[in-house]
Amino acid sequence: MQTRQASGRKIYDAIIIGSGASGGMAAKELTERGFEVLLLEAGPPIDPKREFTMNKFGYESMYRGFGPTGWKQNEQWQQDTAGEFSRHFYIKDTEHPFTTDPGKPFLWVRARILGGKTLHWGRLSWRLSDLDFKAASQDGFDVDWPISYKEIEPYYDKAEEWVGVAGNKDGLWWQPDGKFLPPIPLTCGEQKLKTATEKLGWKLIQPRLAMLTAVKPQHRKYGRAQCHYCGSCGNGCSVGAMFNSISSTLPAANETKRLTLRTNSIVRHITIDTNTGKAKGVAVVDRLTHQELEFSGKVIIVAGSTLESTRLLLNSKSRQHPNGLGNSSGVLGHYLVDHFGGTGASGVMPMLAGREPVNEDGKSSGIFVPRFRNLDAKTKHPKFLRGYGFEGGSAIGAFPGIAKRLPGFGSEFKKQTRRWYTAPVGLTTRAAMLSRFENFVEIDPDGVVDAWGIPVLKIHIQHSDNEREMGKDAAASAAEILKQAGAEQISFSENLTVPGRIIHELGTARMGDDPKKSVLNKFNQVWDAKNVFVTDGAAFVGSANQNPTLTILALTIRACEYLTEEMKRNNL
Amino acid sequence: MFTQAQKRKLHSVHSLLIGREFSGEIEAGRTKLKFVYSPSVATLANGRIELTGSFSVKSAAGVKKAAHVKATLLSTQGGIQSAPPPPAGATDSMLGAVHSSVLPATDATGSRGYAGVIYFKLSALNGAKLGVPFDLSAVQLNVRLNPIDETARTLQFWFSVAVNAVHGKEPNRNLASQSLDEINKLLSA
Repeated sequence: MQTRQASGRKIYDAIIIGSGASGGMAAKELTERGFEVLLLEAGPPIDPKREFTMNKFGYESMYRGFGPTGWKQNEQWQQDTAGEFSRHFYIKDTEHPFTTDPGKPFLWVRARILGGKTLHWGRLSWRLSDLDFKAASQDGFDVDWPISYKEIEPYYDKAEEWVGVAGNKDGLWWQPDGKFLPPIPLTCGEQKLKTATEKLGWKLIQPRLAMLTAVKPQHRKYGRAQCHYCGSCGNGCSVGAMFNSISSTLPAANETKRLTLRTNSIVRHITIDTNTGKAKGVAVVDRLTHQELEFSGKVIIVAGSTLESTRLLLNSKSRQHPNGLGNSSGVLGHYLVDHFGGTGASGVMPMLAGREPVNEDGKSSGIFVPRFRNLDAKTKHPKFLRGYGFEGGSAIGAFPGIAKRLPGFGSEFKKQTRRWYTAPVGLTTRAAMLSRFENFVEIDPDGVVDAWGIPVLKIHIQHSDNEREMGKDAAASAAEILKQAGAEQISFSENLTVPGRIIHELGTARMGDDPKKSVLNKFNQVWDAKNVFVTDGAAFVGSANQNPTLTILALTIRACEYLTEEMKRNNL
Repeated sequence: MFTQAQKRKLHSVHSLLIGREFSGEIEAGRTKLKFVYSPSVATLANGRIELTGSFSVKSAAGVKKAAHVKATLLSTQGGIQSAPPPPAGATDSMLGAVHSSVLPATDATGSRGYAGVIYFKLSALNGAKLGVPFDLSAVQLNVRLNPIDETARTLQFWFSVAVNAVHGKEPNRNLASQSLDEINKLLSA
């Protein structure tokens, strides 16, 4: 993508930090509203023709898609979802330290590259409902979000229509329907799971995925094509069927000719006008040359991903903001959450064993069991608040994962592998974590820095008994569904994933109604510096149990609309 | 002589624990300079774990070495995969509280918690003397503990115990002393 050269002398209408889901959407929204935008991305640019590898087959590599021995554990040990063909989408942990207390690990998957984590995200696109936004009113824990579903609903509509979300209208009040493209059908095994789940009184629905099952004019305009079900979404979708910044929001922003993009630009801190206490720009270090630069902007959009955004705010100390920008409340960095998984069950479906293999994993989607605990008085669970859903499915994969669970060797082993290869089934939990003040990030007090000398985060997060009770219940419920579906050789997974593993880290710069108890107002605007907006997952009040990206996109559109009006009124 | 532009500050370098040494590379433009930090003794200094050893850099011109280089432990990153097994005479519980609830545990915590990376601050080095075109006055040494040999595996265990005993929530002087003794035995073996 060619844009003009960034200028240190110009005052941009807006500087956007980060080019992922939120940054990309902010760039589109603001340039289309007439803003001159400087978009700063900490990582390198990307050439989709060369670096999107969806057409690479594992067997083309001598490492079969797993990469050479030791690369992951020695260079990218935190980048759990990175594979041999996608590792360049992820950071090298060798350059990006962070710290934790002994025995309290965190798994932090990061993508410093143009497009950010949209290059390899899971694409699940769920709306939250007032069950989530107003959870505190129902169970008394923590506080409600400062917004209701009604307020954000139009922005969910806009986000879905732009992104292209395949899904079914299921009519569940707690899992609101949207503006969907045709859904992706269930496999035979998944139909069996659906019947079994519904016999237990719960729901099983098709996932809502940011993948084009039909092409609308707003998609066609930027060359996005319908999904052809190759199943390698995480390696970079070069036809634009999967939503990412590269194929969607950034081309739209660039088309306005009001976008200036600068990659390899790591923002050290936000610079402050000492007279007003407002932001005046950003201090940047070039990733490759280590050159120090400054850029000026009227508005700063912080969208560097949840924890990087909060790190930046904490590192932006000044006379007016001695504890970090936006931290007069002392809340900045606190209420860190991540969904947890890990608990669940898997097995095989005898009725599907030994059948002719067909392409079932190409659709890259399975099923979703929406939350069924604590919806109302009837479904109230005595031991935990909030709830969980299940992701999962039953589909033949390219790699016979079942093989490692089968005993024996030789021809009988191969025969058994072929037989059971066509019959896998599994469910894994996606569960809410309660937002607690004591789960937080801070700038490492011992002075650890990254390769550019920027202070790093120390992360403090642990699960509570609420999560553990929920995990226990989830494992039992998953097994119940599989048994009901007639599955055999059921094995349980009972440990919760280490925090961060689901890559849904949220909170730490929460929005709220009270400036003394929150960092942002309901429009993602920093209470302490009204020309700074934080539009990514850092703004979340709670995790709910659904994937957060669609909500991030909707909140970003809403924040951009608000700031445009405020700018017109000279209120920023 | 290095020009001013070449004398940029080297903030942090990555290394791997191999045997009893920390090995890594410093990228200087297109050149990669291999370095090894070889600690010979571990002590407690001002409440922090401190190593003393030599720092050597290998380039086309040969190997250049700085002696008596101190590495002061700053902080750690918790490990995610399998914890190192306790060596003879040690127990799992030295790594932290054992999870005893009937409720599910969290991966890689409790008795299986351990250090995956250790961050040290090196005492000031002279870049020119070591043949490194950077300012090495305040380098942070990041040590990834992903052992592939028995010495490194045992060192990882004792480093994890020492970190817990010295810097954990409930410092334990006896365990700190025992773990440093074990580390010193391994470093001097």
